[in-house]
Amino acid sequence: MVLQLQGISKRYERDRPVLRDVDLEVAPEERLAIVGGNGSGKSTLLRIIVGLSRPSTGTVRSPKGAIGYVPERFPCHDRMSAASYLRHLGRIRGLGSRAARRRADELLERLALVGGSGTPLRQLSKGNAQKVALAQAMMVPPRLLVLDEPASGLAESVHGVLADLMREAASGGAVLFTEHHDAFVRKNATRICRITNGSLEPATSLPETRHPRKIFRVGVVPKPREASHELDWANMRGVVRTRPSDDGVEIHVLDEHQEDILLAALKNGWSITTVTSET
Amino acid sequence: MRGRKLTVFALYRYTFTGFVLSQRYAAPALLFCAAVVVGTSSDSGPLIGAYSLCAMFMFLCAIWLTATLVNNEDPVRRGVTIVSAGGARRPLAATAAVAVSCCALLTVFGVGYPAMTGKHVVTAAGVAVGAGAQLTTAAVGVAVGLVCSRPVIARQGYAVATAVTAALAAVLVPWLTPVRPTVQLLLSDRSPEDVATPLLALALTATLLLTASIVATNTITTRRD
Repeated sequence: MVLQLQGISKRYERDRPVLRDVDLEVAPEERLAIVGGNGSGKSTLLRIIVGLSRPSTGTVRSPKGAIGYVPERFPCHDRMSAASYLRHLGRIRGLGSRAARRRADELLERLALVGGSGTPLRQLSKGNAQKVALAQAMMVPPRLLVLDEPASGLAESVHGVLADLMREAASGGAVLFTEHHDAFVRKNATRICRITNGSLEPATSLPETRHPRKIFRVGVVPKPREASHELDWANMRGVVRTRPSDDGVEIHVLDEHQEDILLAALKNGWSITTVTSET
Repeated sequence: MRGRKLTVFALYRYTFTGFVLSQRYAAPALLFCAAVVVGTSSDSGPLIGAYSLCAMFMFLCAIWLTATLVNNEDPVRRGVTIVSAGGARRPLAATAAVAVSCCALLTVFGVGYPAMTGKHVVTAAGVAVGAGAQLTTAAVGVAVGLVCSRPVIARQGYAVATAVTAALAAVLVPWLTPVRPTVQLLLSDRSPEDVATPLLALALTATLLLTASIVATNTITTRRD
């Protein structure tokens, strides 16, 4: 087991208990989602798991020193650049300076940090700050990745990268996350638990989304290359994620924005090679 | 993976860089430099007597500087740092080390300025005693600053009131801390060689006080959450 919780309860002074007798085991390669309403104790449970809060009763067995933690809100008020912050955190996690620099650059490139890696943290938007928070947790692949509402504040175009990083972390350990976006939970969790009145129970079902969103894979190639205009596909409306293909780009786009993407491709000198449904 | 010592050094670099970039060291550092300039310029008499004022202001500025340093990191970001370091002890030790380093830099000015501008007989022993005395009071200041910082006392008003009370008590009450005995030792008209041994004992006491403060701060912050 990567994580074991036994009889965890938490009470703040004389308030009613936030968590009651929580037992939980997380196995290797699991991606466990914890869902529940606002103030249900999800964040408190995560803080106990990562060691930032002490349970009133119960024991936690976690891989201390090998946990990546992404808080719900990542405050950025300082002049330190994003790359510099990540290098420092990489060194704190035991990387050498060069390895930390390489890893920081690689993660920021994957997450497409707007403004570049040299941007001071205090100039980052909420979404970009969240990307830095995600990158710091992945500087050294953790045995347990704990994320508190990671998708909130992130553009849908980055959700694909977030999901990829979560899968990578789970391949060498386990992932535990809270999230309010049902679709994100459904897509990325291998198990779901719900907190109700401070107790943790396996979730039998999530409330159905009214209209499950359909995603299309659109393959485009520049033709001829010199006559085609460069397009920032990843940041276009409705694009969930992009992947470079042999000679072009594969774009994953929501159904309702598919025509806009096709039109943009044709207008800018790109050819459409494939359009297939993903869901 | 590297060892624990290198993690502490990485934490030290991170904390020091963040503090330098924040520029929040400026106010306490300026207060110390201004006090040294005003209080020791064109001073005459024994050199170690001039250092008594530097040691006193070093204590006050060390409290301010340390509390500012600890409060510089947002609580959420501190949480991320603690998780990355695998616990709260090493980040706290690194913070205390940064505070002592900043005080050591101020000591260079606090030792050099009176020696260069005053009308004193400057000896190596006198300069060493001045540096030792200022580092001793700095250690006590860092100890007080740590327990008056936000992770221990969340409300800033209470933290300031506690820091002022602790500073006054340390200065006014004999033998409560090594601050007052150190200042009195420097004003005792004894030669630098004569004060070296009692000063060493005071420095050791200050180091123990600082260690106790780090342990107390760590215990309080980890138990309160």
